[in-house]
Amino acid sequence: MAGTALRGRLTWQVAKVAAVAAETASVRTITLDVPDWPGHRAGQHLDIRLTDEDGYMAERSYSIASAPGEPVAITVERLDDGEVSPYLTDELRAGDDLELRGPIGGYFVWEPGDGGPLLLLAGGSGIVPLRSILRHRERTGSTVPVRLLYSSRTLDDVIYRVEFDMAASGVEVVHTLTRHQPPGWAGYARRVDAALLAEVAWPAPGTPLAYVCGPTSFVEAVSQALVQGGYPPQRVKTERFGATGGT
Amino acid sequence: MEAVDGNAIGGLLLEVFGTEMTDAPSVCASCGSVLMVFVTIHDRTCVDLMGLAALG
Repeated sequence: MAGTALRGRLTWQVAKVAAVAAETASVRTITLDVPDWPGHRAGQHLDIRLTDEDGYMAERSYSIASAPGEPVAITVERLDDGEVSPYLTDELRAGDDLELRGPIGGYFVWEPGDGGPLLLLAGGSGIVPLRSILRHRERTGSTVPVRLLYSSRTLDDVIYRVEFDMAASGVEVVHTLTRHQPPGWAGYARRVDAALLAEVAWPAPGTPLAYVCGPTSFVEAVSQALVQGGYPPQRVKTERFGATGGT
Repeated sequence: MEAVDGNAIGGLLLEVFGTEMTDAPSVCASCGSVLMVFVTIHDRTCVDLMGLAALG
């Protein structure tokens, strides 16, 4: 198949920005009105394409933050040296047009029938697809037990903090703050490692299903620790993004 | 060159193959090989899969 030229079959379309909400100082949730949206699954993502006046295009992939059946939303963290994220977080306003295509992805997705218990592990903005899974669980009335271990640099960097403070029944949320902890912090204060997972993760014999999302270094360390701890590799689903952060 | 997760190019894979590929099993042709190369010029994408022995 080398060298074969193929026509594209995934369609770009123009969505309208319905709302932009601040999650943290550098993170925004952008809710979109997508006229021809076929519906998505929890954990999927979409592609955003920006085109400048010279015709130069930049594409980026963003996890969908909303549950199936909710308006499409993405949550974007501003990367200071990024091509796309500064525009999305700092300049985009309600009423603006945004070119996208999706939904995309069939691997890092969850449906209530997939069972559990669920172990969700997030580093930084890796929380976004896991939030979609959590909302999907709640909206479908699933009673699958969930533990969410969420690693952030500081408390101010915790995305969806208010939402997680009111976690649904059957959902345990455990935070670890790796860089700075507020006075009186009683949670974890170190990076996720095998010892921390031994305290938080479901025991491996219970056939838990793990979803790990975050920077590459985080995902690789966590997924390896889970497998070494007895999780079958096929029960550990991973999604990573290139930058290595301090989460 | 930056190594990325298969999910990160899920849109490109779907565009090229016309079906969801992020959960497709594959076998690499040799250890450490580049699995796929995509080159897009003027809306046409050329694909080199010589790094794969099998793609399900």
